[in-house]
Amino acid sequence: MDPVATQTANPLKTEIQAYEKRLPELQKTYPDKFVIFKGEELVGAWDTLNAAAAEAVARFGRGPYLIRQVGARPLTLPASVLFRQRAFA
Amino acid sequence: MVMKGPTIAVAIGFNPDLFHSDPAVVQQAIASTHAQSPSQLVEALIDTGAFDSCIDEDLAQQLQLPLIDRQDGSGIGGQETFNVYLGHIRIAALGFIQYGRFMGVKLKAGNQPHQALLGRALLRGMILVYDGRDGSVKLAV
Repeated sequence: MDPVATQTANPLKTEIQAYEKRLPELQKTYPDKFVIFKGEELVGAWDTLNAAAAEAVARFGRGPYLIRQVGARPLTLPASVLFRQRAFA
Repeated sequence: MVMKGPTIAVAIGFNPDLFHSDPAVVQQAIASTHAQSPSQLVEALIDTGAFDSCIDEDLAQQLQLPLIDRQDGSGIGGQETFNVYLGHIRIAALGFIQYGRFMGVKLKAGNQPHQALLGRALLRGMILVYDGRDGSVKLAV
């Protein structure tokens, strides 16, 4: 399949795979930090989301790029959304 | 309100200067964002059952908000993958703005009347009075 088409259908796939591959190292080196990945490259690590976002926006504009807090739990969807999605599925 | 829940008009967008390393630029961006007439107001549900705020996925794409993550969210309905965007939610009536990351969820596509959910992280520092007797809600900063 065309790599461009794959990226469009599944944006951030490369970045998330790179993050997961390096997660053990990141957890040792940058616990709780916000890291940026662009492609397979680790751009850096920052203390806050907004600090990481400032760097990402300055360098890459509207992206896409991955900003993720190392070791953080997944975000939780509101129950109201889950009820709606199931009700209208 | 009984049918829709507590609802407020908000403006959603992305101003790159809100994500700037210089705090003075950020303050200027906050002021300029407040000074703008919102081009598009959407209805947001005040959702005290949610921690994080959410933006309608279709609206986020229409506004070309920067995509910064895709995550599997956990909830009572199981696992689901959703997008995470950078942006801001502005409540013009209160002179309030929050900028950061927001989950994109399919609200409109699910026939939900709202295009944003305001969770407790955004409501921090606000007073919410819900009067079920006359169906009124008061929100103050």
